[in-house]
Amino acid sequence: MIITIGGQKGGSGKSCLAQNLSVALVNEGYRVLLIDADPQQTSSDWADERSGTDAPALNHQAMTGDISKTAVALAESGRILVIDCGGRDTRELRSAMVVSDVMLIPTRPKRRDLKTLDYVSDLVEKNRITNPTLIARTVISQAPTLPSQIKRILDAKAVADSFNLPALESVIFTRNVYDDAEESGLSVFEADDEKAKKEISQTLFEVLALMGDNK
Amino acid sequence: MSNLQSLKKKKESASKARSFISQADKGREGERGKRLNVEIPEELHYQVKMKAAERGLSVRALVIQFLQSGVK
Repeated sequence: MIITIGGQKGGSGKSCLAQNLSVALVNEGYRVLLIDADPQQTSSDWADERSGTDAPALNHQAMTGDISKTAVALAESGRILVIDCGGRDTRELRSAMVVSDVMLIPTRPKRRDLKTLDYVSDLVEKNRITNPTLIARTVISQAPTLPSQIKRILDAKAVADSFNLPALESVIFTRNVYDDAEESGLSVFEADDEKAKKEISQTLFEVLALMGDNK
Repeated sequence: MSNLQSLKKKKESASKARSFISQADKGREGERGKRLNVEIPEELHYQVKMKAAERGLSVRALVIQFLQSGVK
């Protein structure tokens, strides 16, 4: 099983989602490999930091260029690959899309970010020739927690729908715990914020359900 | 499907995948590109080339990346 996390916008929480989903999968008993295919190497730095803590270990590997063949080989024997691609249209992103089961596109509920879904949607369509079964979903991230801002989130979901990249039900909200945990190589599961744990777990279950549908 | 046919199909699919991957960072098909010529110090040019090689990118891809983050 291969999950790719990518998009066409930097700073939307791709690495954060990749890291937290990987740990959530490990906690659920899956064999996981986090692949860092982002030239910025955020997830590799995070994983290095993590290896110096008491947190449950996470296998990780950095990769560049066309990663499709290696990814397929690594995903054999029931291992789940979580590939963190950067916020750009790169060879890494495209080659990951070619072999992925699910692609998640973290997107902030902002006009500038939502606009980039147009490009990503085009990319997903082109990729259909080689990978017709890829399930691509937007993940609304860094959403405002104020209840009065709920309309922003609903509007963003509607935009995602209009680009044929429907949003997951689960939303990742702006919470300090994400930054605090990331800086010390941790995930929200080793930190003290029940709401964050819950939203990552919900996201994971939705993704697992999607992959189940695709079997 | 005969072995030969299935092999042919596999080959075709691999070639489509390669072509899809090689189009990375070139913008959308049909989107017009513009050429940018700039004279830069030799040392800087060397550094950019080194950085591109380090990251496994082409100089073009790296320059586009830098420019994009600059105009954000």
